[in-house]
Amino acid sequence: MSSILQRALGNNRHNNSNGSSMNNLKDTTTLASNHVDVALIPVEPLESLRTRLSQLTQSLAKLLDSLNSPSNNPNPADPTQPSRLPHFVSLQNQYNVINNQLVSIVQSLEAHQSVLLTHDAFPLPKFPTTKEQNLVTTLLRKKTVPEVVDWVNESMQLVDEQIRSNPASGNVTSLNDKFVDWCVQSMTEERDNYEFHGFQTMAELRDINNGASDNDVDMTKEEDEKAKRKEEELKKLAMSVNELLKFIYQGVDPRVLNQA
Amino acid sequence: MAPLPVRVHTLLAMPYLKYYPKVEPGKVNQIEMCKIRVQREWTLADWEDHTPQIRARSVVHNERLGNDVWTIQLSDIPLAGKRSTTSQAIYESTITSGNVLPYLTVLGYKMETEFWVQGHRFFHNRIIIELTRIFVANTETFQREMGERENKTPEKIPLQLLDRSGQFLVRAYVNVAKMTDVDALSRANTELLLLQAELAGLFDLAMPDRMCMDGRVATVQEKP
Repeated sequence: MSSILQRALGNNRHNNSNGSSMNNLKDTTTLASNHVDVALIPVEPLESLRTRLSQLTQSLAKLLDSLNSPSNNPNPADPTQPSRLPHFVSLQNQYNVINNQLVSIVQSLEAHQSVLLTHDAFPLPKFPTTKEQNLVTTLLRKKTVPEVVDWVNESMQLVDEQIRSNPASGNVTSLNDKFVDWCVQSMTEERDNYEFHGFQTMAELRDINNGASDNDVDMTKEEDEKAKRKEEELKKLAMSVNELLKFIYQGVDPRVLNQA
Repeated sequence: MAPLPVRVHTLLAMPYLKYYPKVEPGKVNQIEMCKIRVQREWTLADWEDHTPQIRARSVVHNERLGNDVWTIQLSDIPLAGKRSTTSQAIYESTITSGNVLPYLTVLGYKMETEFWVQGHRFFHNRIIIELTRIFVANTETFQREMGERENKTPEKIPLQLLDRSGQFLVRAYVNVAKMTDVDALSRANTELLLLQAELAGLFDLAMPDRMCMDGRVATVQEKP
């Protein structure tokens, strides 16, 4: 999971440094499981939003620059003087550009509405991205932190040394492996207990299994036929959608019609 | 959004007197009569579920039920033409005070059918998906009980499934505020088609016959 987050964050850092408000939109990722399925990441909608948003920030920055530009100041000697507005033609042009970009963002948001609604963005909008930038980078880091790498190396070395100094202690690792195997096995067992497949209940499955193992074939055959007959009867009774709708809208009772 | 239960108590009313406009050549008759559907949400107090025996309060024996909040609904025939989904104009108005039963009489309508709908309602974006079953009065059991009780009417009457096979009716629909809002209609259309594709194999959603969703009286009387 961390790899996607890292990727998304990496994009941000490459593409713009001042659009912290936009990180939230771009960092949309799927939190499916620890195992990341890259195909699940809705890259296309995110990318289309990202380009549009970065265009918008650029135009906004340009507008801000032109408003704050010192060349607008009627009295350059006194920077406290209120600056004049740029020429209205240039303002209007920029306004038009920004307006168009906003429209295009809205269209893109609408087009990908369902995808965006069903995905979470990290960090969340409330997260102080600029203030806690270090924390974010640490959290979204793809590689292990150098400290951790050191720890891992240290313990590996320790184990190596122990084995070298005392070959009998190799049993420790095999014990460890056994424990790991047991963990994996019990985990899969537990998972199977909570994962459901198919459309049958446990009781039904048990019945099916019992039926199959039953030596009395005639019994099962008879039961099968009974079930089949019952099903057919129900099928005969079943009303079509049109019949039901006719009852709802017109009060025409299909049972009366069938009798007649 | 979490699924909600569907509990709709419906009365279907038809006009006392049918109006037969004089058919004149070259004159298009625009006058149509509609059946009225009056609906309310039944409460758990009105319902008694000892499956398979289900009982409910009926307006026939509990006229006070008419004082509840009822919604009057008229539905036009669904739009004609080659369509991928069904669009139907529905007019609705909620009556918040007074008894609805005398009101219907004043309108010139009489109750024709009463039924109860029970099921679940799911929400998917703007789409509402309903899984419902229709219950109607079980007249046979009712009459037998009446005999046993020496014609004293019970508070709740026995019900039975209209479709005794027990299957559910699955309906997916989007409510659009105005029939003239073409944008909203086409948006709803695409959403429904997407859902149809998504649910393919699980539920095969298909368009029902337009004539079966016609709430007008005129077409009903033509049928045998």
